Amino acid sequence: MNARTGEAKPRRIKGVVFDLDGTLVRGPDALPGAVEAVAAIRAMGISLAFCTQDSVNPPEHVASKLAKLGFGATPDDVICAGWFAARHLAETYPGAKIYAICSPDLRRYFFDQGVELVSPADAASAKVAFVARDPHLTAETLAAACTAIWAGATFYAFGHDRLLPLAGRNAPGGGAFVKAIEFATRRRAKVLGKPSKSLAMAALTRLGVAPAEAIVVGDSLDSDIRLGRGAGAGGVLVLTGGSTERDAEAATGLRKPNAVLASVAALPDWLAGA
Amino acid sequence: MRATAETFDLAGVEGLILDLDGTLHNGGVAAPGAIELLAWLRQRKIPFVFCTQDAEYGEAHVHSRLRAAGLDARQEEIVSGGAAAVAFLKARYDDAPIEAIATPRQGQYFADRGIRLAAKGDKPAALLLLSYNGFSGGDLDRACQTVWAGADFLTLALDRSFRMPQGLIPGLGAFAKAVEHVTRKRARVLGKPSHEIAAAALAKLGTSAGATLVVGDNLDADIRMGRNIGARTILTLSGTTSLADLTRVRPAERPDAAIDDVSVLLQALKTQL
Repeated sequence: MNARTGEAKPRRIKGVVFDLDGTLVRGPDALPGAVEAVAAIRAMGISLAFCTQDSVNPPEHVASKLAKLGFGATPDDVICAGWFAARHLAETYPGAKIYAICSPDLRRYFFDQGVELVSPADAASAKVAFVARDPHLTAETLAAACTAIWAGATFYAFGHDRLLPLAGRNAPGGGAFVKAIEFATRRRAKVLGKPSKSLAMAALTRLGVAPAEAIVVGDSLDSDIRLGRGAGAGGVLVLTGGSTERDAEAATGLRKPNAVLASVAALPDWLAGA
Repeated sequence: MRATAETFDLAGVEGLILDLDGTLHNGGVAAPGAIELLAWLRQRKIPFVFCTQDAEYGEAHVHSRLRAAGLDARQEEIVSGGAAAVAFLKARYDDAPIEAIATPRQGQYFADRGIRLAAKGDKPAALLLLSYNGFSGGDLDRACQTVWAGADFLTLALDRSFRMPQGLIPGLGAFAKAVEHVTRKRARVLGKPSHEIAAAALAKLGTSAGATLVVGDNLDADIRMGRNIGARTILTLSGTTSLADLTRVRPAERPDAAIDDVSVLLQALKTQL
């Protein structure tokens, strides 16, 4: 399929930020043509970064999975939303107590950043509540996040992801828990994962190119296209994940992709430009 | 926003729908003025009903709990979310299996009243949310998969939070919103603020909605139910809702008046009726 575009293609792309699930990979496997496409784009001298909403696995795990599949990624090329959020909070609130719902690996990373994470019983003493995906979340740990927010903690979350694509089916995304806490507390979470501008700027800094010379490529209008366009970069939608061509046509504002491709396999040709 | 006995109008009120926890009692301890309010209403022969989201203990247990708190309640005056849900499920689904996200005691409540709960291998006709504790374990996934498979999406309540002795905790509405977010389907509420439970309460009272006053501590359950049917509404600040919360909601969600506790209501009734 050819590029379908509501707006002119950004000229002279020097950097590409790739989403992972639904864009380059699905579950444990690479999507057809994705490895070859990434290699071709790398050979064009374009700098690459991989940005995932993953808040369970550390960048090292994600990079080694990508490397095994043939994408040639190093941990420096990989930005995991949860890890970015932890560093951002550690820098923004030095010395503050934080109540976090997150994976054990991300918890260790908070610790490495010198952040004091409080237990559910001490949630009311936290200055910040942070919610990421946690495979071990319980009704009690979720209630403790509400307790922290009711006691005045500032509420941050990695995102509002509806779905978690697994091999063969969808599971509820971690955004479900964020929505639950927002409803209970009547507070909106500040999002640090996709599509936050601070995450986009971190990815663009990693690329070392100006926003106008970069694109974000992904399967989600809400996460990826907004991530790119909100930071002044382009957004290219691929139809191998959660969005359809009709979704793209109906999208407006920062959710509107600059181009829609059937899959990432079509990206090298698009970048080479007709 | 906070009202005193003189600042809200009770003229024409012929019957009251009273919430229990957070309004007439807090965790089994009668709220200030609650015992006297019921005594005064009985003496003046003004009808009232107790309207609770309970779908776990049953009317007999709720009744004995009210009596233990010193509140002069009769069992036939209790209208519950559980009873409204059972009536709805029987009329709508007959003997079709219902997937319930429930504590064992809640599941037993429905099984005891003739509702067929889905077993392994059944294709549920409806998903019914009953317990916020569904966040533990795989219940959120199970709930979403059931809705994706085509089941109707029902919830007992959409309450945001509850006040417990140790503080606020999230309500069932938080779980329902999580499922709504994932599935993009809206939950139908069977307890408060549904029209079904409001109709059951009005039928017991024998009053018209316009001549009825709804008193409760929960904006999403009590006040919304009252506003839905065109009744007058008074929020008690003795439960889950704070004065600060009131400033955060749209005018259409606000009560006619907010009072610290039902002792203010009793004062107003004494001077105005």
